[in-house]
Order: sequence, then structure tokens, then C-alpha cells
Amino acid sequence: MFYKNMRYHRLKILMAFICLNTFFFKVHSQIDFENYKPLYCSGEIPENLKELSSAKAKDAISEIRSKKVTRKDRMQEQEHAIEVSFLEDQLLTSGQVLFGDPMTNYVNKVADVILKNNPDLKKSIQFFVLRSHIPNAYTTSNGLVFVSIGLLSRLENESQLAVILAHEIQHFVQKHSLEQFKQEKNLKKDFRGSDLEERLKALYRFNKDQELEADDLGYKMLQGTKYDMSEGIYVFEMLKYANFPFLETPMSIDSFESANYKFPEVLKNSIRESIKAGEKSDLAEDERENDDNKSTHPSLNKRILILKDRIATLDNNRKSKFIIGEAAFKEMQKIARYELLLLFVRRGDHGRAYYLTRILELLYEQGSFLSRIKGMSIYALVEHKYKGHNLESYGCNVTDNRGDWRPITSAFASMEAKELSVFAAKELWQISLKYPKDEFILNLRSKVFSLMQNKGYMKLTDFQNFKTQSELKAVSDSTSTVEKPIDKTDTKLKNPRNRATEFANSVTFNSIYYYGAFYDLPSKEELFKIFRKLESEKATNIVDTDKKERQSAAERRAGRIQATKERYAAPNPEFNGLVVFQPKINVVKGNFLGSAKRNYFIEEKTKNSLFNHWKYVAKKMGGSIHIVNNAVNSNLTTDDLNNYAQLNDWLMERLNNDTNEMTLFYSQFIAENMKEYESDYICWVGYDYILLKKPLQLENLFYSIMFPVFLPVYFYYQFEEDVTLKELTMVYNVKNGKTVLNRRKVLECKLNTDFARAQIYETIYEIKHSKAK
Amino acid sequence: MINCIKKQSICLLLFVGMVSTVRAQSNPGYMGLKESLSFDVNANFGAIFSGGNWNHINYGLSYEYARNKTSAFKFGIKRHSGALDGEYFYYNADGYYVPNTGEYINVVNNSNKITYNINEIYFQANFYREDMGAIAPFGPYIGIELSASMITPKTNTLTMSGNIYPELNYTPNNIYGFHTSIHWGSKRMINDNFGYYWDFASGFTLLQSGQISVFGSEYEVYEQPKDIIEYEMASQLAYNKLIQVSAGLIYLF
Repeated sequence: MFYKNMRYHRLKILMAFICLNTFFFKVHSQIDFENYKPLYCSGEIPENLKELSSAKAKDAISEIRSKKVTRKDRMQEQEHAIEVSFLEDQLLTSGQVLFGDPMTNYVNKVADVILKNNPDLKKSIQFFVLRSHIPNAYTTSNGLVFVSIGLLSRLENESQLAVILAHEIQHFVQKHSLEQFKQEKNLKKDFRGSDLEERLKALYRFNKDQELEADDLGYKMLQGTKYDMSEGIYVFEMLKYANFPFLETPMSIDSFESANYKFPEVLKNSIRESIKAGEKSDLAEDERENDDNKSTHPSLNKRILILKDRIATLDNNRKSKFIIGEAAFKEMQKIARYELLLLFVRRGDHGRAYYLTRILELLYEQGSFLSRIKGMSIYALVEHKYKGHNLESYGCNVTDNRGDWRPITSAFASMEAKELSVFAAKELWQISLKYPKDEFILNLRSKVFSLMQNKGYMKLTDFQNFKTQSELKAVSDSTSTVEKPIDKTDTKLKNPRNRATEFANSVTFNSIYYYGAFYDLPSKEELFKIFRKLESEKATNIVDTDKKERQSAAERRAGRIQATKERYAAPNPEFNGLVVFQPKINVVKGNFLGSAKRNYFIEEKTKNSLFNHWKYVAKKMGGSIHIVNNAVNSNLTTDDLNNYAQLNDWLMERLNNDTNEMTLFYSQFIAENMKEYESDYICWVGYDYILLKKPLQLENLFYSIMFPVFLPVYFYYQFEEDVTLKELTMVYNVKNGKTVLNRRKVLECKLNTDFARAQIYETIYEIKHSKAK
Repeated sequence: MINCIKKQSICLLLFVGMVSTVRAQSNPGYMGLKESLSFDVNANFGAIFSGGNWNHINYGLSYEYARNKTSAFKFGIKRHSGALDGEYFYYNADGYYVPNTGEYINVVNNSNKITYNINEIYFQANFYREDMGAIAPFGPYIGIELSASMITPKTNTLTMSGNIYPELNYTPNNIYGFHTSIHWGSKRMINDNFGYYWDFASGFTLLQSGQISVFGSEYEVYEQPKDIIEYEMASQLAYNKLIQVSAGLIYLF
């Protein structure tokens, strides 16, 4: 009885445990992967974003002043402190950094384990996830550690993350960034980069000794934990294969062939050639990587050997790959991989995105999100192909794509536009059958059909004329038994026009291989019905297209002038509001010695005043004009950053694709925001503000002394700065991606209140009167 | 004289016509405001070159209308008063020369001063420099002015003594002039409606009534005393336009 009760009791406990875990797992996994949406920040904004960057930089400078160091060291440290303070804040508010999200929370948990016995160090370091596809991690001298999504998506277990974090922590503890900054300053290297991640890389370019020291001290740190240090070997190997997909499966165009749709040998040979060219460049790159003397980084092979030696001396038993838990790691990994896919779409790396959807479908389940990405990637490649763009810039670069994604991406790059559009149409048809009510997929499908018709000049109804070999044989057999009557008028003379008829009779839709693409598809009759409908709709518009093509250059020019006049004649009736990004500004200030550099203090001040001017003018002009703020200040909220990031993602996708009238993936995600703003227009404004002192002109001073009446003129000229203000304004219609305004201005005026407001008013006025091109 | 005025009017009309043909488009003005009224304070320094009295501060009012982003029309009036001291009439140490007799005689003006008014009406076309961030009617500009002015002596009668030519009592005539000048200036705003401007101009007289050549030699001889006076007044008018500095308050609406 007792044992029975015990068993029953244990069973109850076990059931309770299972239920709790299931419940916990469900509660824990709140992400809807079927309809996945990009992750943004959540929770409280970090405290360091509430204080102005200039205040933080000034505090750092005054701390440095109190140190007893040489003047040169002090100047370099101050410069470093200024660069770092401003760069960190710009990065944190750029929409490229995540906090409070599941990935960052996970990274923080692992960091907690590593720094369990060092709470003071834990307080001085903050961990963030960087929305970058490059597998890398960065540490700033103020203790901000950024781990990229590219890196997180490749990790296999928790220990690997721990090795990376321990390494980065040691860079901070040993103050490597300041050391390296001083060394590079002495070599007179520049820290300017065209974007934030490049500046981050430039500023935190550690040398070999520093990397090896961070490795060594990182391992020591991990020895106090239960993490399996040998996983570090796999981390280095992972970095070696950074240009490979995180997981591979063979995929080439052969896998898309069917009985009646076979790619020609010409195409396959072209693909093989480009793969060979890629493999040749792989050898050169591997050689460079393995030569420790040529690289600024220690080679990965060397680091692997060092780690192996160290592990050999340690007791690595009772070490674990997971301390927080495998389930939590898997969840984080899945999120990172979905985010990576979105990053590729945003960057315009459609070739890679297409391949990765296949990997994720094999790993997880096929869902509508993955299907949408697949459809989007193949549609985007077709758009770019018809625009004449080189697909190597859109994720099909044979040199960069090492591994199993090379064959399929090379195939996309090698295909002609018509071939690729038929391939895409086939894919999208199959996807749309699985998701017949998905508006986005249906939209992509109709876009591809339209491209085939209007840009490829393909007659869609020709596809239904395709016949298999057996069908063709049956037709020719049936016609061959009929005897042709003897033509009594037949003489030795014949009409040369008969050649056209002979040719037309010889060409069948079977001679062009892709006409068989849809033959084997399910529901092909439905597809052909759609094709017939599209053809009949096109027939009614055919005259206009022909007329446009027949116009002479002069007529087209006159048409453009007329269109420009009409654009400004009256307000654009489609204009329903404007969402403006926080204006971006770079300020470069010069001195009398002729050198010039970025002045972050003036930048911050000017940025804030520009924001106020935009707000003021928007209010004065009335209407729905919203300025999205992401500047560091005490009122900044997480929602502000997220709004900015969401709009920025759409804009990045638009700019990276650089194509008018293209459906964009991120349009789905910002539809709600734009509804709230009651606007379809998005505006990005950037300024380059260059204030240069004129070099001292002594001869003019001499002449002025000779003719004193000109002295005031001389002083005015000499001390007045040469001002250049470059303004770039880009306005897009979010609904259809069309460019509304793309304008560059170069002015010679200072950004005083009256000038700034006049220019802003004029810009908004022009936007209101501009029609989309 | 009438022909003179006719010519001036035709030129003015032609100029207005020419500037009017500049393409107009819906322009924003400064924050949407295209019209401005200003109160002007001008100082004319050209008389320095004639060795005369440079204290020519005068006042005016003007109205400007922005035709498009880069150009605007301005209409204005100016008025100032001045005086010529008696010593002007000793413009030649030897006096003035009487060709008939070959004598040099001095003319003494018993009136202390000849006071006069200059009334001026002008039309100016301002071209705003877009590359300097200007949007008419705000910001730096270059302008071309056409103006018509009249110098009116206020002193009714002059009496002269000494060995003078028979005409003793003399009332100088009005002198008319038609001038042009080039302006360089800038308008700045204090708030949305009020602002200020500064302007520097340099010009010359195109046409002038009377038979005097104001650009003749200093030692040119005039047979009649009235000619000397008219000469001096015409000089004031002409040199008036040589260098002019203005500043003022503007109200945009």
C-alpha cells in the first residue's frame, strides 16, 4: 500500500513537473514564428541614453585632466573619450542596437554566469545585440559589449557564447581600445568611417597581441565557471567559415528541374565556370588568412592551437555546454536566425536570403513567414534583373558566397531575365497555392507576372501551348497521313516571303526550355486562366506602351519638362502627411592650420536645434507632419527608438534595393505606424556642415596696412569662416516605394535660426507640391 | 526736359517689363510671407568725392514683393534735406571767370546757406542668392535700382554781392535726375515677421535736367551765377548716388 501510494505520489509530482515545464516553455516562447515580426527594443531605456553625449564627454575629459600623464597622452585620451562617448550614443540610438529583447536578455544571463563572482565588473559592463549580419563582437572602452546577430545565429551552444563574452570582457578590463587608439594616432590613421559599424570597427581594431591577451585572460576567467572551454575551438572555426551559411544543404538549379523543365547545358556550364572562379579566389583568401605575418589579426589556426594547448593542461571534465538551459539557447538561436534572414532582406542580399529560407524550412517548419521571405527574395532578384542590375550586388556574389549557397546564387546571377522570371513565377505559384489568402504573396506573384509581360515582353498565354514530346509526336503523326493536294500552279519560282511562314511553323514553344516550366505544376489550369486574363487586360493598354516607345528623344524631353511643370503647379492631392526622421548632421570644423575634423559638440547642439526648427516649421505649416526623434536626451523613450528603428528598416531596404516601384518586405511592418501617423510619406534629411577657417593670408594683411580703409574688410574676410552646407533630402511613398523627392543642395550659409527655418519651410513646401515619379 | 522725363519713364517701364517676365512660380517666401514693408535709414557718402558735405542721412519707406524664390520687386521713397554753405560759391580761388571782360570776380552769397530737399522715388529689382540660402524676400541679395529724384531748393531768393554779373536776385530751379545703382545687401529675421536689413549701394546718374555737365572739370567756367548754384545742386544729386549705406527694420506679411 505504501509503495503504491509512493508510486502514485511520484507520478503526481512528475505530471506536475511536466505541466509546469510545458506551461513555462509556452510562456517563455511568446514569439509567433509563423507570422514573425522583427524584434525591437523593449523595457526601460538604458540610463546612459538619458544624459547628453556632450555632458558625458566633458565628464570624461575632466577626469582625464586630473590624471598625471604627459600632455600628448592627455590629448589622445581626451580625443578618444570624445570619439567613444559620441559613437556609443549614436550607435545606441541608430536603430541598430537591441536591448530588452529575448536575445539580449539571454546574452545578459550568460554574462551573469561568467561574472557571478565579480559583481563590480558586471555593473560596469552592459551587453547589447547588434543588428548586423557579420559574425563579430565589439567592446567599447566604456564597457558596452555588442554581439552581432550574425554571430548569435551561428553559435551551437551556450559555452561558445561564454567564450566570446569572456574574450570581450577582457578587452574592456585591459583597456585595449585606448592603447590601440594611441598607437594608431601615432601612425596618423583616420577614424572616419562611412557608417557607424565601420567607425566601430576602425576604433576597436585590436592588434595581435591584444587579441591573444584577451583570449588568454578570457580562458582564465572561464576556468572559474562550469562552461566547457573547448567550445572555443569551434568558435574560431565558425569565424573561419564566416562566409559560409551557418548550416548547409546542397542546392543547385538541378533540384528545381522537372520532367518538362530542364535547364540547358549552356546555362549549367556558365554556372560551373563562375563557381570555379569563386573557388580560385577561395584559395587566395585562405592563404591570406593562414599567413600570420600578413594579417593584423592573429590567424584563427594559431588561436585554435593555443587553446588546444591550454585545454590539454586543464581538467575539462564536469564542464557543461549549457548552464542556463538548452531550451533557452535554442529559442535564442532560432530568433537570431529569423532576424538574420530579415537583415539579409533589408540589405538587399536576396540570393542569400533565398537560400537561407530553405535551411530554416528544413530546421524548423515551413511557415508563412519563411514563404514570404522566399517569395520576396526571388521577386526582388527578378526586379533587379529586369532593371539591368548585377545580381552580385544582391546576395549573389560568387566570391563572397562560399559553401553550398554558391551554386544557387551563381545560377541566379547567370540566368537571363526571362529565365529567372519564369523560375520566380513557378516558385511563387507554388507558394501561393499553399497560402492562397496571403495578400503579400499574391501581390508578389502578380508583380512577377506583370514583369514577365511588360519588361520581358513575354506572351503569357504561350505557356499553355507547350506540348510534351509524346504530345508533339501524336500531333505530327495525325497530320502526316493527310496527303497534300498537288499544287498545279507550282513552278520553279517561289515567293521569298514563304521563308517567314516556314520559320513560324518550325518554332514551337518546345524549342525554348522554360515554356515547359508550368506544365507539371498543380492547378496549372487555374494558372493559365490567370495568364489569359492578364493578356486580355494588357491588350487594352498596348497602344499607350507602343506610343511611348515610338516617341523621339525631343518628345520625351518635352514630356519631362511638362511633367516637372505640372509637379510644382499645384499641391499634390495625394499628399496626406509626412513623417520625418530626426535630421542627421555631420559637422566638420577647420582651423587656421588647414586641418579639419568632426566636431561632435557642435553636431549635438545643431542636431537638437534642427529638430526644434523642424518641429516649429511643421507646426506653423499645419497638417500632419511628424518628426521622429532619436536624439539622446532625458525625454527619450524606448518607443521613440523603436519608431525610429522601424521606419529606418524600411528606408534601409528601400535604399539598398535602390529601385523605384518595388514592393518592399518591411512595408508590412510599418503599415500600422504610418496609419497612426496618418501619412504615406517618409522623409530623410541629412546635412553636412563644413566650417573651414581660411588660411592666414599675410600678403593681404600687408596691403590692408598700406591702405587702412581696407583693414576692416580684411579682418572680415580673414576671420569669416568658409561655410558649406550640403543638404540631402529623400522622400518616399511608403505604400508603393516610389521616390517623391530626391534632392541635393549645396549652400553657403550658416545654420542660423532664420536660414534654417526658411530652408525647412521651402523643403516641406516642395514636398507638398511634388508628385511621385 | 520733357523729353528727358519721357526717356526716363520709358527706361523704367522697360526695366519693369523685363523683370516681370521672370518666371513666377508659387513660392514659399520666408515662412510663406512674400511681402515686406521697411523703414529705411540711408547715409550717402558720395559727396566726399566732391569735397562737399557728407552728412546726408536720409529716411525712407519701401515695399517689397517676392515674385518667386529668387527675385523680388521693391518700390520706395526717400526724402532728405540738406544745405549748401555759402563757401561753395568760392569754388575757384580766383572767383568765377567772366569771358566777356576777362575778369575774375568773386561772388559772395549773403545767404548763409542754400537749403534744399531731395525727394526720390525708386524701383529696385532684387535677386536673391539661392546658393547663400536666400529665399526672396529674405537673405542676401544683389539689386539693381532705377530711381528718379528731384532736388528742390528751399531758399527762395539768393542775394549776391560783389562784382557780379547783373542778375542779383535769383531763385534756383529744381533739378531732376535719373539714376541707377547696384545694391548688395542682406535681410535677416528676428522672428517670423520682424527683421532687419543692411544694404550697400553704388551708382551714378544717367540723366539730369539742366545743361550742366556735372562730370566736367572742377574749373569749368560758368557764365551765370545761377549755373554755379545749379551745378552745385546737381553735384549733390549726382554724388549722392555714388556710395550709399542703408539699414532698416522690416516687417514681413
